[in-house]
Amino acid sequence: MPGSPAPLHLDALGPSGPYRAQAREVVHDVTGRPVAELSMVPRLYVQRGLAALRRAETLPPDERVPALAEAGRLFATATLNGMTAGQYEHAVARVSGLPITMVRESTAGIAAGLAGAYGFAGQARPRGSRDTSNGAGTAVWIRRGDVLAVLAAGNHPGIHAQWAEALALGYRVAVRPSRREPLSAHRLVTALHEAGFGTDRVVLLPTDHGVADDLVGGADLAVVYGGDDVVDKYRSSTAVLPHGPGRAKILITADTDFTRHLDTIVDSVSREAGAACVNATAVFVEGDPAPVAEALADRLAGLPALPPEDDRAVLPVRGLDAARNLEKFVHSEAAGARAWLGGDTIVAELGDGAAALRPAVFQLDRADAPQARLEMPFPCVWVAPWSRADGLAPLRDTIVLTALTSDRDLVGRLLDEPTVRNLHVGDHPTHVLVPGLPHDGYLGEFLMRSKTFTDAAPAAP
Amino acid sequence: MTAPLVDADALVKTDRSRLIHPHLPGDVTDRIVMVEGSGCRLRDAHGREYLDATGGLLLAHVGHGRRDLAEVAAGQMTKLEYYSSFHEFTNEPSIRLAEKLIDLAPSPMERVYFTSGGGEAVDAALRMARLYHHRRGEPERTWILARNFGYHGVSYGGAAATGMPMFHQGFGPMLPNVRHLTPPMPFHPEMYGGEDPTEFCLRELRETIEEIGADRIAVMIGEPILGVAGVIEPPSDYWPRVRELLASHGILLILDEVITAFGRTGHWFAAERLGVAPDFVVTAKGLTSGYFPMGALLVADRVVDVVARDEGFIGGYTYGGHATGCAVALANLEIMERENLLAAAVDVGDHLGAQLRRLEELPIVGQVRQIGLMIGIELAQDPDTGEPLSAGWVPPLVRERSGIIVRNNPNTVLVSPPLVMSHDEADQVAAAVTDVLTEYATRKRKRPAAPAVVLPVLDTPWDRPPSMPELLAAAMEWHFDPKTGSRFWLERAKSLDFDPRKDVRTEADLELFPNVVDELRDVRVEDLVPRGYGDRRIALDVYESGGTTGAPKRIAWLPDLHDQLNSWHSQVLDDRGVPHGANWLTIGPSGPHMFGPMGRTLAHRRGGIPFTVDLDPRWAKKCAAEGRSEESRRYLAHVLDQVGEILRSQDVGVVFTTPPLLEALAGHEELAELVNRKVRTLIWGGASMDLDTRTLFRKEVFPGAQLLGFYGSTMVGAGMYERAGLADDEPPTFDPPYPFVSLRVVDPDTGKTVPYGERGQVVMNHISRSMLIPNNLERDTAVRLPGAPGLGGDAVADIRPVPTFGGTAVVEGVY
Repeated sequence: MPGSPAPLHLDALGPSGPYRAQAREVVHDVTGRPVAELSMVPRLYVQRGLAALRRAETLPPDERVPALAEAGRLFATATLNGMTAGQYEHAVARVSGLPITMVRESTAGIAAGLAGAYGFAGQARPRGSRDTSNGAGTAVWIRRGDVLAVLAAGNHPGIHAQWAEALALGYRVAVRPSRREPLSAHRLVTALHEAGFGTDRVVLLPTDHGVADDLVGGADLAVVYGGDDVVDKYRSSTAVLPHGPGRAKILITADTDFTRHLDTIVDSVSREAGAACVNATAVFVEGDPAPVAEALADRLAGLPALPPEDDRAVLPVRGLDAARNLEKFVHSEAAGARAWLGGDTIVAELGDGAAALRPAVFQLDRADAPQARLEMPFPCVWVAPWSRADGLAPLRDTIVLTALTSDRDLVGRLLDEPTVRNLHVGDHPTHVLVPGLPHDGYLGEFLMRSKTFTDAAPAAP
Repeated sequence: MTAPLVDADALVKTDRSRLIHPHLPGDVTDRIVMVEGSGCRLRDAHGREYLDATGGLLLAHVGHGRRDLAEVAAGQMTKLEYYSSFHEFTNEPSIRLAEKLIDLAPSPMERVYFTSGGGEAVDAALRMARLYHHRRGEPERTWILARNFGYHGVSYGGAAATGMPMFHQGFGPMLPNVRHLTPPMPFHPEMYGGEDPTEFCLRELRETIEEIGADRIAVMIGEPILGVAGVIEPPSDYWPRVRELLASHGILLILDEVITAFGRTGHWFAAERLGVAPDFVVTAKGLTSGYFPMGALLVADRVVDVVARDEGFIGGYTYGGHATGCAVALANLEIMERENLLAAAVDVGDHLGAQLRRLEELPIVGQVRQIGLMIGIELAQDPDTGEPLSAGWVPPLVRERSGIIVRNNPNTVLVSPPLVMSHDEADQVAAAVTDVLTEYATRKRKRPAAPAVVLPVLDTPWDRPPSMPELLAAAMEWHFDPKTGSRFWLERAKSLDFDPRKDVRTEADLELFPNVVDELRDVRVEDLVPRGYGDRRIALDVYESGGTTGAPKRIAWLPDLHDQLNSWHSQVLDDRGVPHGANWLTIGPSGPHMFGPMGRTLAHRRGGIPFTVDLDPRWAKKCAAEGRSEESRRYLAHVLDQVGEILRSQDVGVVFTTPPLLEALAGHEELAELVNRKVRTLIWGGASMDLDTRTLFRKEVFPGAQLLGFYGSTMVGAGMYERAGLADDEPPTFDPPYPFVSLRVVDPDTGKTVPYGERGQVVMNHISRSMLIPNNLERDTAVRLPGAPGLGGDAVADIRPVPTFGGTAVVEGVY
């Protein structure tokens, strides 16, 4: 067939069903070809969507738990909005530039996440609290509100497994998808509707930035993904949970032979195409960092540059202009650093208007160099010297730290450090999440609270 | 151009005895033997040079004599000059070209059928349309609807569809089952018996479908913009409404874009500009710029699904998919992209159009119409009646005097040069045509060059407006006569490098004025009052701008303007069916702002009681700009509390407010219910409203109320209402009370008026006895559209705020 097929319509999914807006944005793939048209809803639609969520009844637990599992199954296997699962994964790979194998893993992860959402959410439940009272003095675990807004990110489809926990806990949810990769959120909300969540219990509201603020302001609670600006904006809010850059790190102390852990370090930097918040951004080395940087560069240099839909692809892909801009930015930031890899270029043209982002390894001359906080959407790592005199300061403010050390005293201090949100000791790559354990705290800690309930009324005859 | 000359006389002699020329009367012995071309220049066998302002027959987009295209043709011929495209045979250039065309084409075009030209493509489209219905079990659907004045070539199918009798007479019988309808030609209201042209045409179409029977009609064919008939663009709602009506009856639509496709209008296809999605698009001409005779029929997916199935589409043309032609076409399109010729068509077209539009002042010119590089200058014995004047004498005279080639239809001079024409060449064309027409008009002397100054024109009711030249003549005399002008303008005139009383004759001349509104921050309002009002005490009102982009600007508001404007407002509200006797609730800024007083006055004038909930937009915007959203929310709640007190206890039939406040009402369950129960008319203004929000209001939130948009400006002391009858997918469109208030939409970088259908920044002019505000640059962008029939001037649609204005971020808050 000559030419391009008709674009896929990604309608808003409101309380009355799909809504095709006059205002639509074209979603492009990494070569700039249009893939879909995303309906962008105005403020009034958001306002009405939130009002409908507020009016809706929460699905009872014995219905919503199996419905979540069914939604996960549909997400992973069914034809939704005219797309098979395979077509969806191919489209996400082409749009996001993430390797298709990674997208497939995310699909499976989302399905598993939905099936286990109620159980995962329950991990945050304080000891002794329950969903309902049995009449005696009880700590009851209750929702902090009824309506949750989610401003989703587009860097990784896997993030959508998280907010499903809110549904499991009985929230009604309004999702604003990423405008760059709205396919995953659209598919998940479609699957939830198909599985029995009413269209007034979970809605998809694509909007621009201005209206997104109204979405956050109109909901009881919100989960927001973004950069440092987003984190700063909502830092003091108790109603908004911001998820910013992860800045995952690795620490190698002098008592550790890094060569025995090289697989872990390489994996931490480059798995998930280096695009996830849990990919290592910085490696701190007690002693000379050069051998670590050299070994890392040697291993990462061999990663192939392939189109995202290729089963062997492991690197992220962007449009050529975007890739060039990223390269320009990284090189300007790396001024003064020693480039072990990627100093010439990180752009590998694929010949179709897209380019793979090749890995980069830079060596810094001090632990507190600002570049060590620079998180990029591809395997880009900053290797810096670290000494006991530097202390914990360079290691703070990280979503996950893998410590390659036998110093248990240091481990104890890292465990006590609140801004190190997850700590692995030994051969555990930064990106590997352990089911049931918190990723960035338990979402339930934000969504729920406990209250005392005692019922002295006589039981009904 | 250096080609050796040939024996011209011998060639002409042979031509006379051996060639049949289309459209050449038998007694004409002149021949012009063209031998050479380069860009827009041509040279004949006698060595005389010409400037081509027609592109031959509306093509030659990339200009004449391009070696790069010749090399492409030679290269392809050397490799494979041609092979059949019948059956399973194909070739790479045709595949690549089809892919390219579908990439460029409007949705839902899916496949391409190549022909040797536009006429063959028209025939193919008609055949496919009938076959489509035949295969779907409706063989009785054979009727073809076409339009008078439409041109679709001279093959028997195309000629039958062509709506010009000269192509039928003596050639009959033509193809049966063809019905010609009336196209909308807004400049000729006499054709529609007082009815709106679009409404007339739609009614005629509906009645025709009913008469013939929808189940017997296959297809309608039309040019999106009538080309040969004189470059006539329909009102913006015409094609979308035609399309909708046809679709509701299963009738297909062919758009003949042989002239308009490939950049002539500044777009790849006029269908994009007109917002219509046809089933077929017929193309030729610009496809190869004339370097190869070729056409292409673009076919929508649903038609393809039927006509390409089973035994396929029977019948093709020998040269369809010609490898050399397709290679040339591809290279031609690449040149157009590389040299940005679509933008050039707009740029040069506007440049040329602006000069030629001045000809409208001549008593022999009815209207000058320009869309990109399609220009029609319609001549008239009397522009007021539209009585036609033959244009046949113009092209030979222009050619003889200036060496410039233009064409004509019976009463319209047609200009359609290659898209590579330079500004300099365009100036030559404009000067040549102006010279010839002006001389003729001067000899004719049917009306004076400028209207006589009649000051009472300034008191003409706004719903019975004078012409712009009449108004300008009177207003310039009034505002710049030392005895009657305001101190402000008389002082300001000293620094103008023109004399308004002599030099401002046309709307375009208003561009001579500087934008003075920034000066109105400091001017004493008394100095704005024209002296001609005398020394008597005048009840003067003062209104201020929002004051969010600096100190407030002030205008003086005199009672006569108040009466004129409100009379006009009330008349428009009558036209829109807004009831008299209803009480008004204005939720908007009063104080120094015009919003509240306007609502109060209109309520009084229309026999209602005005209720007002005031607000301070400066405070609200300040909160929004500084991110103090909690304060904004509390202020909004405070405003809604007051609205609630009124809506609960009073009868309110009309609410006049802003879109954000309307949204706030919609989000308040009780107030929304009260509005739905009591209010019949909701007028919104003061901020923009997008299409989706308007549709939600109309269909879901306030379905029982009429929603009516208002777009105004304090600085020009006026506003305008949303055009009636707009469909959900048509943006709010506003027609000013022309000529008292006129609009331009300009490119903010160049200050030049943008073409119709394109977005730019809004400039407003106010011309009345009490006020002269020319060239006021608004803080809005809008799409420029032709004014509604009968109103004159331009309209604007889809208003949006500019991001910054005067260096300050523009905030749309609760107001």
